This record gives sequence, C-alpha cells and structure tokens, in this order.
Amino acid sequence: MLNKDLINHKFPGGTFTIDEEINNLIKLSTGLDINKKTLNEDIAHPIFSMVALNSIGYTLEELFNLLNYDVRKGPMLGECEFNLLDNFSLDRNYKVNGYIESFESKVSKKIGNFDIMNFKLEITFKNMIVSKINYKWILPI
Amino acid sequence: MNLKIGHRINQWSHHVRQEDLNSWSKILNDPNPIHFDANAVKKIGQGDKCINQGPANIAYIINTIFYNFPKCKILKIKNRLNGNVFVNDLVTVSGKITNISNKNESIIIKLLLNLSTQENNSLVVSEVELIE
Repeated sequence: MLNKDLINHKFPGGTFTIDEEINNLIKLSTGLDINKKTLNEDIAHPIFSMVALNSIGYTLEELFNLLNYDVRKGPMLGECEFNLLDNFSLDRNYKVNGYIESFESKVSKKIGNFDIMNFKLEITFKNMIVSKINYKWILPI
Repeated sequence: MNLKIGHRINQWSHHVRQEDLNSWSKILNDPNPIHFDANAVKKIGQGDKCINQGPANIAYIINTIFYNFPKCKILKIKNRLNGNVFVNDLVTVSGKITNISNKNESIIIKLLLNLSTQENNSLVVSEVELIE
C-alpha cells in the first residue's frame, strides 16, 4: 500500500556538479555529436533539469521504498514541466531541493488502477534559482 | 528559419539503442529493470522490449529545439508523456510555431512539438517557450 502520508514530505536535498564526461554521455546517448562545437562550450544540456532527480537526497529506489512502492511494478514518468531561469554550466555545483506535493488515484484502460505522485524540485546555484520542475509520476498498482 | 505562426520546424530523428538506455540508467542512477531487462517489461504487460527513460525522451525534444534554434534560450517546456519509446525505435520529433511575440527587444517563440516513433504518434507532446 502506497504511503500517502508523505504529502509535503521534503526530500533531504543534495547537490550535483556537471562535468564534461556526464554532459558528453548525455549528448552521445541522445544522438548528438560531441565533437561538434557549440556556441558556448561551457553551457550544459538543459536536460540536467531532469537529471537533478538523482540529487534529491534519495535514489529513485530509496524514494520508492519510502513510498512503500515496489519498483518492479514499473513506475513511469507521466508529465514534467520545467521553467529554466538560467543556463546550466559545466563545473558548477548546484543544489537540489524538493517535496511531494500530492497523490491522486486514477484508473486507465491500459494499465488499470494507478496512483499519480506530484512533486516539485528547485535547482539553485549560489541561492539563485536556475530551474523549477514539476513532476507527475505514474505508479501502477 | 521562417518565423511565422503555423510554420513547421525541421524534423529531428534518433535511433534508440540499448547502449543509450544503459547510459541513462547510469546517468539517472535508476535501478528500474524495465530499462535493461525485457522480461521485466513483459511482467508489467508493456510489451517485450526495454522501455526508454522518460528524461531521454525529453532530451530529444530539447535537441530538436536547438537543431532549429541553435542560439535560443529555452524558458519553459511542459511535456506530457503519453506512451513509451522502446529500444530500437526510430524517434522523430516534429512540430510547429504556435505563437510569436516581442518582449524587451527579444523574440519570444512558442512551439508545439510531437515525438513519434514508427509505430506510435504523440508519445510526447511538448509546449515550449523560448527566446530567439
């Protein structure tokens, strides 16, 4: 049974630094040429708004354990909205904070009964917000 | 680029390989077996091929934006994920300009993008706002 007492639960938070290796791995795994020069080589891929998910202070496995949710049921990302207030740069240390906003219970013809977990993240550099992200995760029951 | 409302942007494509999924499991520190074990996908009734990570699908959307607007700054992206991309799928992102406005001597462009594979349309639908 999903632990829905975690509404407003704040994640421990964490930090991440984008190095060239991980930025290149993202480029390579999404079909970009790492040898192709861009306008500003110090700017990292904006997808780090979502990669920050692994710096909330829990691994996804730990988060699903906290929720009392069996990861083998196949949780899926349903919706993600991000507002980018600044570019991500290489070799900067970013802080990630977030919390679980709400849960919803739904039924679909395709996957049957499922819960939706809504949570919010904020990524900052030197106390300035770089990105705000809203997530909806689909959790099949 | 022809900056007119309704103008269709240039399509962007990528062939999804298992090594890409393996990279994303590492990038996201994601233990979910549906990304590397086809049997785990079968168990949840979602087919028999490994499922691509959602953030990778959004990265394709972002790559399409920069393919068309290399100098732009992305302000907002709202992504709705309607279905799965699987290993060996050929992903294509297409879309059009839905609005153009001016703000403080900058051009604000809104896009509606659609990620499809050879078998499914609208697997990801993204509303984008950028400064050109």
